[in-house]
Amino acid sequence: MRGVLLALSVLSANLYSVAQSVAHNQDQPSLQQFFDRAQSLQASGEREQAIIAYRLFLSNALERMAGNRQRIGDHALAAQQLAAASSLRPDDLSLLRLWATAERDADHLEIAKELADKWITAQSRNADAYALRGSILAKLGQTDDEIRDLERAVELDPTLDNGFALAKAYLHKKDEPSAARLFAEMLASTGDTAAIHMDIGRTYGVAGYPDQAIEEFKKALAKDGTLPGLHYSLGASYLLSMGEIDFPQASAEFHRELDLHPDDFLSHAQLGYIALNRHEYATAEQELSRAAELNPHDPDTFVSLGQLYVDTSRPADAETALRKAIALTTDPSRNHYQVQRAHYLLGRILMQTGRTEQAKAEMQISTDLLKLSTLENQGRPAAEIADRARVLHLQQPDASPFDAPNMEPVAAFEKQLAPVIAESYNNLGVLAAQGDNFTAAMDYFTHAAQWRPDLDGLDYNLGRAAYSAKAYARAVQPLGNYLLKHPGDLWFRVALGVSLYSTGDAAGAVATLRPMEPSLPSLPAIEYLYAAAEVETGAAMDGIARLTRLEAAQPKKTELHRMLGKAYLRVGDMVHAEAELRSALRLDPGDTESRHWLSDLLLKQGKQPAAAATSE
Amino acid sequence: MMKRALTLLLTLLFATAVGAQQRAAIHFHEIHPQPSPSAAPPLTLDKKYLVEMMGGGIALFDCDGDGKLDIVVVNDSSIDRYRAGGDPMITLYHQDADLKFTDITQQAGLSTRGWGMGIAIADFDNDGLPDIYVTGYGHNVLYRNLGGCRFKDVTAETHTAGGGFSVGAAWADYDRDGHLDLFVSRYVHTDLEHLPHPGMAAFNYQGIAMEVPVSAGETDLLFHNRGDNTFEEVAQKAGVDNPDKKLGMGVLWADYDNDGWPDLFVANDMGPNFLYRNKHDGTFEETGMLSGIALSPDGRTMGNMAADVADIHHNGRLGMVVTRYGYQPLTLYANQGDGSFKDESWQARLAQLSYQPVRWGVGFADFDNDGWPDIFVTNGNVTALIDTLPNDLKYREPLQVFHNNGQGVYTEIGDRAGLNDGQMQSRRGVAFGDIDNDGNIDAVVYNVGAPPSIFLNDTHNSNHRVLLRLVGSRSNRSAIGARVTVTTASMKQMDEVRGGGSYLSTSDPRLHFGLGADAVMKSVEIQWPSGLRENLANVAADAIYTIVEGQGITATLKLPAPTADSKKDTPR
Repeated sequence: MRGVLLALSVLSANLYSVAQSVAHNQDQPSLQQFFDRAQSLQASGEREQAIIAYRLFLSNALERMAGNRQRIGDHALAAQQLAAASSLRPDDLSLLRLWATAERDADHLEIAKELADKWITAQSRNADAYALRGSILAKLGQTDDEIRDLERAVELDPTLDNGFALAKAYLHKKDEPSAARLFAEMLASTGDTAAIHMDIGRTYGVAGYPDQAIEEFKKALAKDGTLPGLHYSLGASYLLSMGEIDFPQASAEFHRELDLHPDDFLSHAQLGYIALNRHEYATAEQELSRAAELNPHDPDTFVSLGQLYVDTSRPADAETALRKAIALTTDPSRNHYQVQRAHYLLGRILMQTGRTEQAKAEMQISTDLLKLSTLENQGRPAAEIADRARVLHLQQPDASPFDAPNMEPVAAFEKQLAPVIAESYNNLGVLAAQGDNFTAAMDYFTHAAQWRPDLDGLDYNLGRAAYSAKAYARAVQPLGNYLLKHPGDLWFRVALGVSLYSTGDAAGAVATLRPMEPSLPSLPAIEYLYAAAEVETGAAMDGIARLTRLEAAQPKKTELHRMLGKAYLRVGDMVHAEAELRSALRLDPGDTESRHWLSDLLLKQGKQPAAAATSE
Repeated sequence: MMKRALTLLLTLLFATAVGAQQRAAIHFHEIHPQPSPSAAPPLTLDKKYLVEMMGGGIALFDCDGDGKLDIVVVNDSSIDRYRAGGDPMITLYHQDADLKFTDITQQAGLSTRGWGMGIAIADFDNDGLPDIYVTGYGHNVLYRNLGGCRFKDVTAETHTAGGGFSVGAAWADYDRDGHLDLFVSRYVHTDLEHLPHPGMAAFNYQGIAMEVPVSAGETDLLFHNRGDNTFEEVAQKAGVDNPDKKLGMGVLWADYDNDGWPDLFVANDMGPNFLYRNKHDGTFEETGMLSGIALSPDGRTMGNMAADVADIHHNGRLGMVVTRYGYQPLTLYANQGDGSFKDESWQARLAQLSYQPVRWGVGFADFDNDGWPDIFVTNGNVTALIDTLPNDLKYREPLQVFHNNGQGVYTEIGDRAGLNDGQMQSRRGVAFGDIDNDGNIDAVVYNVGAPPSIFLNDTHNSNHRVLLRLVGSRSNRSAIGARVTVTTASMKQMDEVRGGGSYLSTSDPRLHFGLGADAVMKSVEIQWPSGLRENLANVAADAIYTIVEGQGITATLKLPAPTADSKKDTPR
């Protein structure tokens, strides 16, 4: 009920320099060492050790890349990279933790919870594991379970981070007394410092307890009035508590913050907001413009500027500012769906300037975002809100949400590593195949293809590995690619033919194996498959002829009689079909397929007793 | 007698004290007639659940046609009492001679029990007798007026029970077939067997264990009058059902686009307001967002409570005032004439107010008869539990009246107007009407857990005024939706007859116009809902006229001549 008037910006922000981390990543001695060692072991024939070394290299490289992605907010890709890393070091719980965290941050909550469960199963007394699962449960809206986990985390390791997480959960559940008790314990253990009071105040403030936040910030101020963000936080809490009534107090605090830290954009932004509400437009524009200059990526500032321009009848400026606010909002749920206001105000401008249909579109977006905001106010789980957003087509566009400046070095690093990663996966595949572990080899080659689709020999390797692992569906494409370039390779032709037939593509199998017709008699198994494919593709008589020749050469082969029986059935020759199927059953009374076909044939001929006898 | 005498003495002394200061342009005094309208059975003021906090409708109407306004007020109840069968949903006080009010609820047959919320009054069966619709939790009630202030519960046979958590209601003939239809808004979905409890997000406000409106709402209802004294619920068909289940509060019918068809405004708590434009085919188009009245001017959702409309700029277009929850501005919207509204709260000096209580009932009325509508607002927080918070608005809050200076600027003068001389209360609905037929608009206010307050307007000046009682013949008998434009030498004003509005309440259906210094109305133009237009020329001010569709003025009751003599400021 209270607080609908105000948009409170984040009380604190941490921004890491991706450049710094990427610079660290570009310093690759450790990755290089891993790679060199793996190569050396492979060259010296130490297959098992080489496998371990390549896996170490790859998992470390992927982990490093995922770290970069996490830092720029690309949690989904980070999660994929960490999943791949974890598959290479499946017993590494620190990697599992990173992966679970990335999945959580990417809102893949069920996966994240499964991973966290796995971690807890492996380390049932690890406080961090409970803390992580608690954070996942928070996002799932399972507050009671979240609290249970966080209480366990605190019990196992009463750190400040765990304490604040638990306090936040208590407050989210409106259990302020429990939070207060916890804060008292934290104060007793850490000492009565300005910093701890500030953190307590922030926790109260973000949880919607501005009056309590005010008290804590005042206590912090009494100890150290120069803490960055402290005056701002107090001012923001005044606004949350009493709204416009506390404009003077809030304003004074923002000015105090600026006296200490003149480039605090949040304080400028809030002063601009206050001036805007007071219709002091010149001051509002000055403050908001300065805020925008200090932080051109904060959408809230542009919403306020847009409103200012609306109020001062500058529709063109308003439209520009509001569109910028919308473009900067990568997550529409940010700050309680604040971007809804931008869409609304933009809609008003469009109406006023005669662009009715565009106005309606913006208003509809605003209306839809309000619906999501309502769900949030109702405490619905994040997953449910996300589902609703999808239904309302309010998902983010495909455009990268990340700042280009931060994205470029991350992408460059990955591009630099891609060939080495591909090669490492490829080598792992070769090593696995050498140990007849064709399934693992196939997976490694697949990963290699993902990193470098044009890697030399990939089709050859993947095709052979997949075929050898009897993964015919996955074998088809690489075998086909290789055969296109090497049409004379009989092994690949046969492998492709078998793979196509096994995956139900009889016509493809026939087409692939047809050039080998003259040599098929020397490959009875392949000729049999070819004949079966002919039968299935309508060249049944050719298939029958071929099968008949094979049967003549191998009269005691049950499958030949069975296949001939089926072939005769296909062409409607019941007499020969019955004869062949009976032959198959004489050779192998346990041949259920022949028994089924024969019984079916007899039934269709009206010979029920005979069919029944056959079925027994 | 002693108590009454003491009361009179105190009032006189206070009036004298006020006179010693500059008397406000508008002034009221609260009357305490004997017997006093009694409060509902005393219940706790520490209300924890929304269903306990929201009721508060009140109405003024003439149940027996004796020319004097009677009062009907919903009764409070409680969860335990409702489970045991509820309380009589309303109480009817008949105005006897000398401003005495008698509780005639039982004799009137208004005995249906339940949990009353709001009241909407109109003659739904066109028999010339105003009927009463009561919204409530669990079920609503339609009472048919049998004459002589006797009523019969015809809910079942008319199919108007509704249900859920019904709050606002208002009558209008939305399809102009001559029969009044009824819109009902509904609030939070509430199941008394599954109420929110501590630990839930919906049951905590700043650490106090009380329900907050974050739960899902209910759809709204539109009862179409079939003309045979039965109704069909058609909200979905008409496009006014509120499928997203916003939290409906006060409702109001008004022709905002001047096309002769009633449109519908619904105030939604914590959500965008609805403005439904009548498409003339039995359906409506929701235009709240596009029109500019759905949200605050900067695009935020508000805790909207109720609204009223008036020709605030004398331009023949209905502007609107909307009340809201605490710390949120009272908002004045000017009708731009193109389907949109402009927030003029800042220019009107309403947005700058440092004191923004929890506001409920609201109404435009020209209390000083200068031709410009003033604004009356009733305030009070949702529960006395809030009083434990040091920084929040209090449960009992003063009443406010905003005097219109004629230039679009409003000044709050509630204290000086005598509205807060008595005990502070927590208020909800308000109804306006000329209770004592002296040409001044009075107000009766719902007080939670206390008798209603009757404020007689004892403003004295030499301004002329007129009241018009319209009676339809081809149109609905109550003439709801009839639009009257009064032109005098110095101004032109317009208003419409309404059957319910503000916060769950219904005002005197007679239209009142303050005429300032003009003693004659050059023209009184009436646009009847049937489409008939009539024009009465050179009509004298200072009377109550009855005007029947197609027949002109059929009865006249002269009002006392306006006078600035303050000695007349004597309570009766």
